[in-house]
Amino acid sequence: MTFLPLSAPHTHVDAGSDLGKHQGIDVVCLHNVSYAYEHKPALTNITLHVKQGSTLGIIGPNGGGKSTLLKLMLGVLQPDEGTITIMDRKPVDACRDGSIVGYVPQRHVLDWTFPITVRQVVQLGLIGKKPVFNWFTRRDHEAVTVALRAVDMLAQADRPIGGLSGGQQQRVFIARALIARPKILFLDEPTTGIDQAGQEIFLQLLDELKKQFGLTLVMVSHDLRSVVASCDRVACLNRTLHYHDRPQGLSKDVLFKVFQCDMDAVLDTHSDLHDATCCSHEHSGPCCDHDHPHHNPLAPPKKS
Amino acid sequence: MHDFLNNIVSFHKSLIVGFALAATCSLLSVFVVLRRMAMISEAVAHAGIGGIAVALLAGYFFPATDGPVMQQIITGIFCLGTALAIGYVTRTRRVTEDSAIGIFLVASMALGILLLSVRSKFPVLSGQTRPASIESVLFGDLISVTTTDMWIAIVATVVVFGLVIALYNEFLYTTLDEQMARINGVNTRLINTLQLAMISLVIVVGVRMVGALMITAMTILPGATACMISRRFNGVLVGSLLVGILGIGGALLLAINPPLSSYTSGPVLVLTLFLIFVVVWGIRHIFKPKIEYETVVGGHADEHDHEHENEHSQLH
Repeated sequence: MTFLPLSAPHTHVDAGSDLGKHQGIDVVCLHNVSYAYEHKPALTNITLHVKQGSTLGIIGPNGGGKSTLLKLMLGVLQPDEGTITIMDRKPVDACRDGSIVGYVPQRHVLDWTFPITVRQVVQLGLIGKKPVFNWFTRRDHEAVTVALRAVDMLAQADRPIGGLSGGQQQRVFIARALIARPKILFLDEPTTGIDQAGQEIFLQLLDELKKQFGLTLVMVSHDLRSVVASCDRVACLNRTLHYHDRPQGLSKDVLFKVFQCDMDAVLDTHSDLHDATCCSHEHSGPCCDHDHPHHNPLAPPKKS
Repeated sequence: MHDFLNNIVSFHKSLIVGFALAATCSLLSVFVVLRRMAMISEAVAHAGIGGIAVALLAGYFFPATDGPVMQQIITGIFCLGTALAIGYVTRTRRVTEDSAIGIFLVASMALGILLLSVRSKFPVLSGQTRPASIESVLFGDLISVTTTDMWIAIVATVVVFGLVIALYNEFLYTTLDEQMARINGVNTRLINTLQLAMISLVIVVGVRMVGALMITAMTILPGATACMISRRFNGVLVGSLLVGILGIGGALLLAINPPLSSYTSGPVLVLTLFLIFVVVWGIRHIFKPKIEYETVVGGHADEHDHEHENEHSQLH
């Protein structure tokens, strides 16, 4: 396997990889997308294709443009340059009724003291499919039950959202996104604020849902562990795309380039990653045989 | 008792306006409280003073715009314009929302007081609406509502309830999570404008009755009280309506009967609602509700949470 590189920022294409090429099975296509906030560039020249059925993790430091990229893909922001299509539609149209794109935002965007039940929150995910002046029907009620059962939250359906744990809150958001039966799920920092054991359970759930509903997942995260553990493609973003390929190809060099001074902090929070990347960086010889699975600096943790 | 019933018959218009206003304000107050729009509501109410003054002056110079209905319309447009201006000025984020509210609140109030003084210098021609005193604009006059006021209040109530029932889910989603609602195709800009328009409408109708200073309380207190009563949205809506209707209904009966009938009615209404708020707050403070997640177990995540706790306790 070849490694990274990257003197000039661009999409990395592994030898033999089909990434970066537009193909029929790509469901999300970004082509030369740039965006600036009041003349201050936030994203430059992003070209990214997401394959149907894949799980893409977008990682990068705070302020690196992850949220901006997500907002562009959701149609909340419009790119200054370039084009974005989601299953051949504009992002706004793809997201409107929830049947193409489902969005799982960060948990903190919601006021969890709001007086509302889990069932009502999930039901609102169907609003894009309802004509104006229409109330929810018994059929919609049943769809809520199915969505809540899929995320194992049916027992909490009629509880107010105020008493839910962090993991349960995340499941409510997923159920709200799933209820309109999307093909693609965008997740924004899904594991933030959940302890490590809870994260593994959550990522397993995501994997099960992906198979059950035939989903394509796009996950934005600064949490290296969760991305590496659950994604089959990784995009490293710091204003532009530094790497876009399989997670096994990531090395400390790339991460340093992407996270820059944040790198130590990132690795300190994941001591096992830190040990592994130090090994790959400071030593030579057989220890740094990157093709050896035991020495892959960011190999996903074994699932129990 | 006979006098009491006589008073009810004599003041039936006040009672009808009172109950209509109570129901409308209580319904809107849920959205005002949950969207943290209380201060915008306050600014719109104070803009009502400016609106009334502009309407009175317009009525003097252009007799076609005189009359109670036109006055209400002009005042309503002024209030809505102020609310939209606050939203527009804060959109660029160069002026914070609380600053903009403070600025527009005092500016519209100052304009109102100035124009009312100007109007008082002009003679009142026969058939023209008498200029309102500053006191009556600030504190209202519950007892002297007219038949026109009554019909305006009934129409406003029908319009507000009709809109909220028709667009219930859109209002709920925008209140809960505006960005997500927008992503899911809800026209949040229209919903926001409708909310401001409805608040302006009830304030315009209510300003004559309880006054600009007091009407804000009616668009905040029922919702704030109901949020302490229920953790479910439908429960909050019903609770707010009950608090508003019972509170204002009770206060109206107090205000039209001696000994309180000789005093200004607006403060009686507001203080009754405040009393209910304090009592509910006291009850909730003394009897703190059990936190449901401590008593309800059965969710997958809960089970795992407990497993993790056990693991941690074993490690220690």
